[in-house]
Amino acid sequence: MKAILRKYVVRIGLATFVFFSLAPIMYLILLAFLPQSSFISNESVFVELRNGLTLKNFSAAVTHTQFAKRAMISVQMTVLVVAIIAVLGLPAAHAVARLPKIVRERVAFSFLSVRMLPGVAICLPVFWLFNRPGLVPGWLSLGFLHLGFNLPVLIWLSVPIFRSVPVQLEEAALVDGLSRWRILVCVVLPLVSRRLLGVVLIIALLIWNESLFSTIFRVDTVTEVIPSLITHRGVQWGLVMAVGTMVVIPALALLCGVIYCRWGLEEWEH
Amino acid sequence: MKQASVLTIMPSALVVLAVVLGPFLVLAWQSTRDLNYFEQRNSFVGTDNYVRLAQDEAFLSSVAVTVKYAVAASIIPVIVGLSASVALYSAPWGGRIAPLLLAPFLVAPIVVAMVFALLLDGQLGLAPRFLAALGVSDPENIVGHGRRVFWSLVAIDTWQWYGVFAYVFYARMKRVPLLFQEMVVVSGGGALRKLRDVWIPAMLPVVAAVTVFKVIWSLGDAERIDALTAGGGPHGAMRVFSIWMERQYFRYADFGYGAAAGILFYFIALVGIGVFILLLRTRRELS
Repeated sequence: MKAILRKYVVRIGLATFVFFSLAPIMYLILLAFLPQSSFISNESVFVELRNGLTLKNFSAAVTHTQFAKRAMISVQMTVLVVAIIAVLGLPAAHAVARLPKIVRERVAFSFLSVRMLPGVAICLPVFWLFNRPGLVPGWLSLGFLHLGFNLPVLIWLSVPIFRSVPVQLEEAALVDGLSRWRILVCVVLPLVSRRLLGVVLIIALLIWNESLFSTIFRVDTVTEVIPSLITHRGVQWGLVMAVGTMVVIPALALLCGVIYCRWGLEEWEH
Repeated sequence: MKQASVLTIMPSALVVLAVVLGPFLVLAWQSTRDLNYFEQRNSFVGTDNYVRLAQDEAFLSSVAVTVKYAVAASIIPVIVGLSASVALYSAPWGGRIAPLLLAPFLVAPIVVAMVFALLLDGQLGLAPRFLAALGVSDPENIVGHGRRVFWSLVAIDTWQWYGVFAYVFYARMKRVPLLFQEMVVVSGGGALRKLRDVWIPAMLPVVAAVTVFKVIWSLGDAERIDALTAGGGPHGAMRVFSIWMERQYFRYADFGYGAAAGILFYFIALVGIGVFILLLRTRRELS
């Protein structure tokens, strides 16, 4: 009896958690298909479902916000920054992982402590310095900020992954006369490449979703358009939800990648 | 080996230093000056900005709100995440459900803000209807109500992060050998001893790491709060530090003053988090 009760408590609990997680996303996607008139009336949006669904928000979002151009900029920015972060950060994380414990913890923490300075506090001096006509284009400042701000996160997340590779393996390779780079590329990376890819995808997700920096530097990314849809005459909810849905779908693909890479399922300590 | 590792870490360290220390030094320089773009003032004032900050109630309350928010928005998602991970662990098919809980994490903060802005909206939203059904007075007013908007934001943050934590905690629980639990049972211990001897030692390091990470992350939170409260909520009740500083820059163009605040905030955060980590470390050594 107790076992059955326990089973049902667990099931109901899990169902509640899954519902709690997914309901707002479903709500977002559902709203993207509602006609704009639904957001003007005083009725609940669920009552407005009787008016039927429409694709108008999406076509309006694509033309009105130049979504294709923005998507292009966002993709380029994300891919470029993530590539640089991976090339710089992964060897560094590997080196950090092989430091003695106390040094390792301190180095990892110093990298992470960078995030303690709020993004705005970093961003505004850069804006003040570089954002003058003809000096540095906004996208370059934005790219550098993304680089400096996410590199520490990558290092912090991948140190534990490198730590999971036995150091003896590397020592054996060293005895065999392999150089440090060969050891990293031919011995260590193949063992942990999948989980590291998970970390890289997380960084890509963070950059794709970021909107504060791109709003300040006025770079036309996909998320930057959303604040501009809040107008004096009210919010263009239909457009907001359509853009939101189009931003979420590639992120969903990235998340599937993260899950496939089994990120987070192994050691997490430094 | 030592030299080589320094050489490998150096490029990343330099990039981070350039992107972060550069602006930091600019902030430090600006903070000693009376620098106002609109009024074309630019003169050295030493520590005047800092003295002014110490008496500025708007600044102090923004720091207080930020800290309160960062702590609440870390502890609550961690607790909810822990309970979700226990539920996942109790079900044999928990591993298949766990990835679903990651879904909220993939939604861009600004999109999250808009979805919840609509949910909390006085006329269109579901939340006011729910509050009205519960018999709460003035149910339409959520975003304009200081306490309600604070806890709404904590709830939104919980929604977005608890799944990540549940996923990480669940993975850690799965890696605790069953043998440990069996040893407690064989030696005649109950659920309480299992908790003390198996679960707490296994989970404490990862829970602590995740909490520290989340506190740091939340201190800089701005996008969602800004979009949801239209720049800080009723009477600046949710004017967290980032929003406050942005206003100093863009509304008042008071660069020197804003910069001093940025420097001060960084050190408050650094000291706070350092103390927290030291406490955790001594606890671990004592036990």
